[in-house]
Amino acid sequence: MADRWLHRLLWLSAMLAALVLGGIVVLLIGRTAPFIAQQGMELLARQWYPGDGEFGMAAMIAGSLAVAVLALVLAAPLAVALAAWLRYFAPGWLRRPALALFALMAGIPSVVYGLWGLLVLVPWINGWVPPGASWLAGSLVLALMILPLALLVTDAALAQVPPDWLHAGAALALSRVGMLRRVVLPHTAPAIASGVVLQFGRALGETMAVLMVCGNVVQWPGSVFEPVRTLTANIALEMSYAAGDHRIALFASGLLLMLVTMALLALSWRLGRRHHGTA
Amino acid sequence: MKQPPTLELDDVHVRYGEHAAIAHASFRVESGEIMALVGPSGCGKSSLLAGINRLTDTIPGCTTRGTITLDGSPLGQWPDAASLRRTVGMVFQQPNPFPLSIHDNLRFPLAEHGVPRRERDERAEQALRSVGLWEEVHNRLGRSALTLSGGQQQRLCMARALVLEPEVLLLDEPCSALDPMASAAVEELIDSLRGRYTILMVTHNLAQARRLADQVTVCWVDNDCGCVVETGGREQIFTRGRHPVTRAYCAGECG
Amino acid sequence: MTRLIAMAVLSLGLAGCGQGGDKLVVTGSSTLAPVITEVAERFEKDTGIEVDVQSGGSGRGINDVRQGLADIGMVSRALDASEKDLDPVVVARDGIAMIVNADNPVDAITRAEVRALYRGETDNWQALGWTERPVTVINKSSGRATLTRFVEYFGLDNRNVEADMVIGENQQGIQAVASAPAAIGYVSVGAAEYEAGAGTAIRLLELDGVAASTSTVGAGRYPLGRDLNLITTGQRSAMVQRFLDFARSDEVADLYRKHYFVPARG
Ligand SMILES: Nc1ncnc2c1ncn2[C@@H]1O[C@H](COP(=O)(O)OP(=O)(O)OP(=O)(O)O)[C@@H](O)[C@H]1O
Ligand SMILES: [Mg+2]
Repeated sequence: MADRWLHRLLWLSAMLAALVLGGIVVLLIGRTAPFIAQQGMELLARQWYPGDGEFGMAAMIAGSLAVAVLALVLAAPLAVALAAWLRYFAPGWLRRPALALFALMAGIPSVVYGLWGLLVLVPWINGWVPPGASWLAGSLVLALMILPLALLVTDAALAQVPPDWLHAGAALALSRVGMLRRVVLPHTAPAIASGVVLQFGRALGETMAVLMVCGNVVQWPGSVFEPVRTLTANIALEMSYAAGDHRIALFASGLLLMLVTMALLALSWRLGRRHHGTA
Repeated sequence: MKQPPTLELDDVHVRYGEHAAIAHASFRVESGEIMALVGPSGCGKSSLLAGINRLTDTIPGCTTRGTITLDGSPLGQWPDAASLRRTVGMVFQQPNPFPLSIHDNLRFPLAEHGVPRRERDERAEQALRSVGLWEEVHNRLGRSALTLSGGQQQRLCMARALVLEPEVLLLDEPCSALDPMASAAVEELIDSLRGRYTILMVTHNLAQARRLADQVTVCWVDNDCGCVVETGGREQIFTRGRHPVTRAYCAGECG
Repeated sequence: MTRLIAMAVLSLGLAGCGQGGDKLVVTGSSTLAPVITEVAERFEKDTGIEVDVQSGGSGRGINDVRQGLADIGMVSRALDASEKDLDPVVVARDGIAMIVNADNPVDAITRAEVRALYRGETDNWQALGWTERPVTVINKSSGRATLTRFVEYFGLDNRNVEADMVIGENQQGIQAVASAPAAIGYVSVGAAEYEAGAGTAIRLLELDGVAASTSTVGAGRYPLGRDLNLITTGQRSAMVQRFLDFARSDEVADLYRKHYFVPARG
């Protein structure tokens, strides 16, 4: 009886969440469709001078991707290596406190990472290659932000590895590195990838931390030491001052972000399912 | 071919922290013979096997005491666990092939142990032939080992242990997860290994022990601690056990 | 029944216009919002009229007033020709200060030098009398009143500004300059003076021979000054008029001074 009610409640809240999400997408499409139709390829071909009616977003789309991809390239291997090290190589007493620490890190609000980036990282890069606020700074802050969850996801995936294989490996005197490379990681790769793709979505959607450290100059990402502006930072910087087409253009970039994030979610879900299929 | 070594245990204890899983275990497995280790669940049989190839090293808090020798040379003085485990192979109760192709299940351990690439295929084939799997799988070596049946998987695990050319085999209930047909095939395989390897095999199947073993060791739990009750020739243990426990145990299960 | 619905819709509409009940809605410039919030608190205490102050930029202030979403807009620049429909009331004055890091020995700059820096014609501090060091040029994001005033004063076109960094709020600009030794940026004189006084590592530059300070701004001598306006459109209600009078009165002059603005009267 209680079960049925709980089931209904869960179903209802799931429907509600889907409805709200769908509503937002519909609203965004409704508000932006005429604008997108009217601008067409201009949205990619032109530059971003909203004051002059130029709403080219290509550089910022590239900026968003560049910052998130580099963050992932930095964070994902490190997360996997750390998780594997903690589970298979580190002294036994270290694992639990370390995981607790990462869980704690995962709970820190992103502005705090942004603040750290602004106060510590940016001046440090500035002393090395000015201006400091840059693609690299953004990616490093994002990497630090997504590292904990990527690590926890990897650890959870490693926990799913049947211990029988590890026993077999030990009895055959196989090196732990060899076991990781040939058995453990290939087997857990889909689950890890699923988690990493989710973190990529998070990196793409992050706003405040990126706004604080990226420099926010609208330009194609060239050198990692040069500033870039992401779509999210652009929305945060300009939305409160934007009117008319400028505002609609920001809505359109929001819609784009939302669709990309949803596609990433779907991808993550499929990867996760594939993992279950084989295990 | 070189004679396989004699395996001797002298007053061996395996403990998990304060709790002794088995104590005062002493017996001797002669060169090329099959010793069956029987006894009730929880009396420390698996722990004893793990103590022999030092898998106990990988369990936090687990310690072993006593002397284990191969042809008189104490294992405690072997330079490293790796060379020990290469000499003393092990097969588990649950078939546990790696999630790799059939072929790679054999080539991966060979590669890890530095066997040159050109020799690996041939040694893999040899191992598969010696467990009688070659005819069944030679045309699908690239398929995942997990697509094999349980019995085939267990024979693949035997092949994987054999491919490293060990001298001693530790078998921990190798047939208990298999159906009777597959079990019979593995049993036949073990029988065929007699003389070439010194084999210590845990089994709950007394009929199987009686068919296969040259010697039998009976274990028991006493005061929450495993111990060896009696060791003797197959017929002696099953028909004229000296110890009352042996007689009761064999009677109960031979029935 | 229909009358009931009609009434409900009407009252909702009125509330939406911000003119229903005894509540005033004030939106706009983030420069003005903090001080007007305090003015509003004092006004509420005196009169019991509730005032809701929201920050969001001068552009939003203008928009909201035009669309009837706010009763009063806060605009931190002079109104231009296209904004003749709005009635401004100057409540205070502020200036835009050029700021550099405290480690930077440069302490004065001219209009031509700023122009050259922001057009990328000068990109090294050596040209301005410091060491060989590339300049980090900090600009504001488009749409902000400060940016509008800045490009207008220096005769710049935002398209040709070659910035190394773009920031939003004043606070962010100050923080950025404080943490980058070779940076130059521009923020509200009031905010900069306050932060410099509080020990933040920035320096306000003399512009064309006039020190950037609240006193030169108040005296009308600082060239890059600006008016801080409250704006309305159409007929002012009694309540709105009362608030505007209050915001210009001597009673709140101390609040503007506290925020390092210069009160228009007092
Ligand atoms: N990793 C471990 N940590 C702590 N105690 C253990 C561990 N493994 C086994 N034990 C304990 O050691 C004792 C012997 O266990 P063991 O697995 O060796 O018995 P067994 O004779 O192999 O039993 P079975 O016939 O069921 O396989 C049991 O009391 C068990 O609880
Ligand atoms: Mg066991």
